[in-house]
Amino acid sequence: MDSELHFDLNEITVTALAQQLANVVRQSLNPPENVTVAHPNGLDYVGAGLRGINKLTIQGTVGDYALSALCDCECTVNGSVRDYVGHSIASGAIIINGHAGNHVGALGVGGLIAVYGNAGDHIAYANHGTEILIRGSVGSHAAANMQSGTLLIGGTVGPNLGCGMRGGVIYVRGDVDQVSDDIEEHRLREPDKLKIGLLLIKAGIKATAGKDFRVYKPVDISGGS
Amino acid sequence: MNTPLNSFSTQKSDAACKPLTSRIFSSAARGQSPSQSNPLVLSIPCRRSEPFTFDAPLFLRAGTDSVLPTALLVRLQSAAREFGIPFLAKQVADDGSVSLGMGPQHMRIVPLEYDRPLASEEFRGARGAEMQLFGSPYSMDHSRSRTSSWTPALPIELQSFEALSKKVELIRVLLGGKGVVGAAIAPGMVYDDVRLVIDSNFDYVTLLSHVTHGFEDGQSLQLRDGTAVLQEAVRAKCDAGRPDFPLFVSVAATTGDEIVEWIARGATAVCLDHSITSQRPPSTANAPDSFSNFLGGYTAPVAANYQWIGAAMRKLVEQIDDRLVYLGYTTLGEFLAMVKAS
Repeated sequence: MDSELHFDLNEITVTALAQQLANVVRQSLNPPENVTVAHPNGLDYVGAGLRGINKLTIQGTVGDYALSALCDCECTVNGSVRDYVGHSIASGAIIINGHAGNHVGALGVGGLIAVYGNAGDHIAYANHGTEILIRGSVGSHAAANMQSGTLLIGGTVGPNLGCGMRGGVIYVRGDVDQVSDDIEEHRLREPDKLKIGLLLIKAGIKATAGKDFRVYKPVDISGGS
Repeated sequence: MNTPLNSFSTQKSDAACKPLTSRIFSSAARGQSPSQSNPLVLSIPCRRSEPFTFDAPLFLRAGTDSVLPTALLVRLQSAAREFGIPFLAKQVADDGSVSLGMGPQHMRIVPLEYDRPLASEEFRGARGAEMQLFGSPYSMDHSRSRTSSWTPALPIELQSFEALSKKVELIRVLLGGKGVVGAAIAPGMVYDDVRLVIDSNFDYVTLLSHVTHGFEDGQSLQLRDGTAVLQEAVRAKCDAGRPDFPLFVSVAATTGDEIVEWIARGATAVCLDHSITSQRPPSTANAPDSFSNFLGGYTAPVAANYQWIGAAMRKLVEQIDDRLVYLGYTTLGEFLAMVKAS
């Protein structure tokens, strides 16, 4: 089995790409080291359901639901993505060298998503455990209905941050337009700084001291210690 | 559309006199493909691939809400192969005696809860997926329900119902582009829900008016009268310009005659869960698996015997076949065409 594979979405459909990649993983003991997908042309569902491939690189901009339900893959998108990237991600990592649309990492249960540009609304919506890092700014309703996981935002944040949030933690470096009543600001502790530094390193960003970040967590409605 | 069944009984033909040799299980015994000689075969058109064909207007929902015991799951898979009846189950049996290869007889349909993340491994080896469009907390807006305005029960991450068709297409991609995607709706505002399902490019809709849990006695629930619910759904199909849209129903049908009656009223396929549960022999009422409901999930070491499920399915298929022949129809297609024309 070759350690490198190339696919061109000018020549095959997205469904055929998914089937061929699934066949490659199923038929080989050692999955390919590097898979490159060229000319995504803004197509939807590129890389949906992908699992068991070491490294996948998408050369271009992709559409909605890209890399959904991802499992055990390290994916890089050299372009921008539209809505619902990394929907239901189970494990692995998605690095986006561009901007992202709405609903980044919605319903994710694990893994890492890093966006080097800005992102739209509803980031980390109903996140169940994914670590999501946005280097730029995000829109409204970030971390809405989040259950667990981490959201780190390097830029500014739109209104209604953390509405309906029931678990997890948000780190924000820039200004926040409006914080919802469901979360409250906490003091930045040493474990938070370590976690921020580790997340930045995992996302391939030069780690800085985490002292500039603010921490938001859900309001403890149980009234516990 | 809602024609009483008795009106068919005058159309007896020569088919009523011939022996019932074209049963589903006899075709399997002769080594033929079930669809070649089976008069009950049904076909649901898929958008991207060959139709989803199954061999009787029946389906099973027993594995929708809970993880089934392995013995029961193996029995269901075996029955699906023998009778061509699709079944909904979250997991596949890891028993080596049952082949999990993709084939025309592999009929597992994955149930998808409204806010659960999509797990790609669940789709492996499945022939379809059924999205539950009920139970969303955002649909339980009591202030709106008082004014009888319809609120679509969407998956949690979708902000508008226009986005639903895109998620349906995602599920199709996760199924490898060759599966059916259905929607299950509760008997609330059925007309609007069915219109939403049709407009969102689903392949079929399942209407729940009676649900049964895991073939257990006393664990069934009548949600609403099935007749009224079915009427609303059929009207929605006709108003949407899709009278052929497959409509599955889960109702309290006990015998094959009642199943044929529901088909005559407009259902494409009828859920077997209640029918099979009603035929559960008394000796298995205290089967070892039933103890798992108590004792903190304790599972008895003795495997439960689910052989009676196969016998119950066989009996129901025979009853449907007999009823169709009695009414004068040689095939289910002929019967459905008559129902549609009426």
